[in-house]
Amino acid sequence: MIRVQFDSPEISVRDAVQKLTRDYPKLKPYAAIVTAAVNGEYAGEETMLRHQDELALLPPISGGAN
Amino acid sequence: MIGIVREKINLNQVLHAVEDMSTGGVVIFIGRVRNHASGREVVCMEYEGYDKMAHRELEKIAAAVRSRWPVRQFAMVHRLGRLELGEASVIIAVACAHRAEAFVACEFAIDALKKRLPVWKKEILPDGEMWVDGVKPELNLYEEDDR
Repeated sequence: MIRVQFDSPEISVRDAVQKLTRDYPKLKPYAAIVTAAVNGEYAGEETMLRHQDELALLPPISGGAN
Repeated sequence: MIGIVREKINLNQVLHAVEDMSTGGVVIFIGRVRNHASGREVVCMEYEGYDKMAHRELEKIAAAVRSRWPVRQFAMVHRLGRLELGEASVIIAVACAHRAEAFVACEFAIDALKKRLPVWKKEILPDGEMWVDGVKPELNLYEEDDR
């Protein structure tokens, strides 16, 4: 888990991903393939984040058997 | 019975969970570790998941199954961790009054799992390991249930 500080009280998932890829350039190649989840629910890029929200960026999933 | 577990899935417990004298058809799906993938020998598999979210996604599958078909009893368990060949990674059991809807509902459940469950698996090969190519989660899967 990483903690990131934002200046604005309300930012979107898209804003957060953009800031993360600026702060951590190694994440850049993954930005296009991940799917966001906010507080354990899949979320689109427009979803707004609030204080203390948990944002997860999930790679393509592969549950079940083969 | 809905769950993300790390121990071996007990088939009898799953069957017990769907016991219901009003149901005449029970369909069970078992997904288990195979000894080959894309022409390569597989030694075992390792599963990781976003537990809390995965559990909620299983509950959503259960809710969708129950809203779409007359399912009387439903159980779905996914295992994480290191699994040996032949061990079950997922078991689904659907009990209905009649078999036709049980078959359809069970197939929907495993397909939904593949499209939504935040779980990732890695093949352990004789000479290394490889993450399995996944799919991008399908965000709109349950839209028709909300209408």
